[in-house]
Amino acid sequence: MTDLWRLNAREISEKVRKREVSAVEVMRAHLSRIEKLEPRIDAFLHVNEHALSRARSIDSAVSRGSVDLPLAGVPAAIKDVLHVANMPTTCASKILRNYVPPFTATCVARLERAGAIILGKTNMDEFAMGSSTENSGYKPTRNPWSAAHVPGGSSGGSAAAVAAQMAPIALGTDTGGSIRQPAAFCGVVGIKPTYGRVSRYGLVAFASSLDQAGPFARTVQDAAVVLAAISGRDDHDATSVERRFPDAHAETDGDARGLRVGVPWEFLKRGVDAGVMTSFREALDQLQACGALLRDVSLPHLAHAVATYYIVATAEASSNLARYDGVRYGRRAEGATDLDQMYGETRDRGFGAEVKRRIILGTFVLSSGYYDAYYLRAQKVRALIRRDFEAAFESCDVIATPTTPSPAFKIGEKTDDPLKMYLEDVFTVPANLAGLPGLSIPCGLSAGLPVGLQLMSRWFDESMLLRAGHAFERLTEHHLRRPPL
Amino acid sequence: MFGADRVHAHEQPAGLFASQEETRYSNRMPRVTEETVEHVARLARLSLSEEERRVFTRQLEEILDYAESIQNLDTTGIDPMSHAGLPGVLRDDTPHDGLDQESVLAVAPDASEGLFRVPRIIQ
Repeated sequence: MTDLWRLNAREISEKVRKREVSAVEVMRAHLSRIEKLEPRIDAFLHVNEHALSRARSIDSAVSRGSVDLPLAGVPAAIKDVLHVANMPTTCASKILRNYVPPFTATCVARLERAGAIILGKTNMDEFAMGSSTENSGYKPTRNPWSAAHVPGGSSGGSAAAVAAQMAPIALGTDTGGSIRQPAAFCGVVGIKPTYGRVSRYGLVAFASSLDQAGPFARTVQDAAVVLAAISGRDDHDATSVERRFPDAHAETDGDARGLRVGVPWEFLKRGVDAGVMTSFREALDQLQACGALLRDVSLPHLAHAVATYYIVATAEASSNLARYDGVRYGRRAEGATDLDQMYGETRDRGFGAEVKRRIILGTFVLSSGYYDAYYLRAQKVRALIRRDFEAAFESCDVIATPTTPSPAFKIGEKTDDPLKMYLEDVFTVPANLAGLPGLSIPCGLSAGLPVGLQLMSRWFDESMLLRAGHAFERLTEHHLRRPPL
Repeated sequence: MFGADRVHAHEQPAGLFASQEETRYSNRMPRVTEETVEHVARLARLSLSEEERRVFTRQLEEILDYAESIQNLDTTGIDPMSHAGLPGVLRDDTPHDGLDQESVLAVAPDASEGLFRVPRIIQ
């Protein structure tokens, strides 16, 4: 077989376990796919030179009778914000150029334990700050559907790699939409798990009360298998909890009969692209056709979610990024004669504009005289937003919105206007603020570019998202569309 | 700019019983000056160029203007939400090996004799 890169993760794993194909053949197919497409897409910052030897060891494990590997031989792309020991982690920042971490992130280790093979590290907005992957300190990534458009961000490289079939699955991180938004822009499935579902150990921190790692895949079932593999309590992250899925496959077997879908129509009245709205309405009709019940829900404080998010997230970022001081790791500016100068120049040369902007904003909202008016107040509004969701979930099982107000924008279109870029996140930040799980699934095209349907469910009720998402996939063919490459 | 419209549609008057602190801030518009940005940059140990200072001043003002919408919400009696998770579950307090010194120092920009080396602090 020459087209092994077309296979989904579940197909690969099954064939490798039955020894119909070898993990080595699968890996070779993906590596040559990367070689062919990477010059056009620029999804990767690093390709794992040991991928083939790891594939050989999976093959020999299988031949020795290891069958308990749900992701046997499945190539996985990892966002460059998650540590893989002995492979560089740059967070797409110049300040971490050549940094090689001495340990592996728990979620990556769990993926490997399930039989997956790390293909490489993917491009992103620097320190996961951005919605387009244009803030990478190294290069922009292109949308596989159109080279003139962004893939979304911050996990743009992971989304583009899965969409372009350079990897069947990938890991990303989502602080304000960084998995769901690029998944929508690239026409793949992305899940932001409930806060606490996946350990953050080895995930370079951006905003610790919001960060969560999760999967990209081309089908809901593949995403479910990855999520099941990476979930669970880890002693290295005190916020992680043990809520494993009983069986990743069973979770996606249901249909949508009786599923109560809440739609916050008041929140969707203005500012949504016409093509996105058409796809969204069609998606709701399709869900209804397979037995779902539509409900209008009210989430009055969502109008303040973007403002709240950018106060909370930047405050936490300004604190988390204080560690890049040129002392313990990363690059140090040369030639400084005293410590303050060394700190200042290291940080000025090492960080890009967006990271500096957020550190300044975050330091400002935490500074004396402004703390109460901004940071404390934002934390209270955050509580109001969570309360809105608690009330809404009294009358529905999932809440549906478009993942983004518009499809992928052009490279360079929003780089001069940070506020405009921030407003991209209007539908995704609420789930992070409340800690809820969210799924983005392809639901159509607008002017040739993918549109995402976002579903959110109750805390730790990812099963509901997977069930709804899978039912939607069975009824539609959006997830089978591939970019013209 | 769709977000701005929507914000106004949902603005709520400050509650009658809003605390003094909340009322005081709700009518105040921050005016970010280049000096503010310079001060904050110093707190964050960032040396900014003149151009960066100028651009950030304008952009911060715009972002904070947008964020003013939350000043008019009634948050009386609402506890601040500091994290999204369940209360942290601590691991057992048993000693175990962490990363070894050698591999940690190997990634430092300048290390010597088991220590991180920095420019001279005391003259």
